Amino acid sequence: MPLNATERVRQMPKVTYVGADGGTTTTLDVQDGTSVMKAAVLNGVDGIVGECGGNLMCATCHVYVAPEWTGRLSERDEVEEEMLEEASAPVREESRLSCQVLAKQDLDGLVVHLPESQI
Amino acid sequence: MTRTVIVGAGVAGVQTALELRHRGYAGDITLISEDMEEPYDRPALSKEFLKGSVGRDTLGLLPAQTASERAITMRLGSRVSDLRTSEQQVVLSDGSSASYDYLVLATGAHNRPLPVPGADLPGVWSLRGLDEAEGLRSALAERA
Repeated sequence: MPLNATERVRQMPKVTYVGADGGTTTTLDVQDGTSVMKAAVLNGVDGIVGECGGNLMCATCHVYVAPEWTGRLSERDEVEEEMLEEASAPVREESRLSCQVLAKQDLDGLVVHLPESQI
Repeated sequence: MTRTVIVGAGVAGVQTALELRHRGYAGDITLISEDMEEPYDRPALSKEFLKGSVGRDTLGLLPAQTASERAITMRLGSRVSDLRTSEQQVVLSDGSSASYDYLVLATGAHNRPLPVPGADLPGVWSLRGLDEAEGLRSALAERA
């Protein structure tokens, strides 16, 4: 049976963005399969740039995945590793380019922290 | 209070505006775009959007609400026709003008026409803006 609009929103995975200042927190309902970068840009989350449009050609959508989530994401591939070297803020073990992290049901509640700078 | 005018609302222009606010710039910011459309992301125009796997709703770079929250004035559908650097003014095609303390030219490039006979025949496309991407997308869909 098709879902109505309210049920669809209820089923959309949530992603929480924590600003670099630690205080500004935004939680979005993100369509399944939409990247964490794209959702942020479409909703005006401050601190994610996404300059190349999600084509792994820049490092301006850098995020730090909250420690409890790092093990549940796919691994960074070689290209992402290379691009991360260009990131403006320090790269840590939990660093990801958020265009490579797609929202999905089993990542419902994902928390990412935004770095000090992207440019 | 200083005034910053940014000409061009592609990723460079939009990010200049957002990054200024992100870093605490408190002056006026005006973003001028000749495109009627709200700012959109161009890389996808030749990729996902062209293939039809994503729609216009996924291309936004600066939704009107975000612009208003960040106090960024958008002047869409406005073409800059003259730059008066000695007066620190840009003149728009409708005759109005905007004064600046800082001016950012983020107009990008334009497509170079193919200098060969037949370049204007139907089926020869130029791809830069959303309108062209939409045209090419429907033409491709008709052939599919």
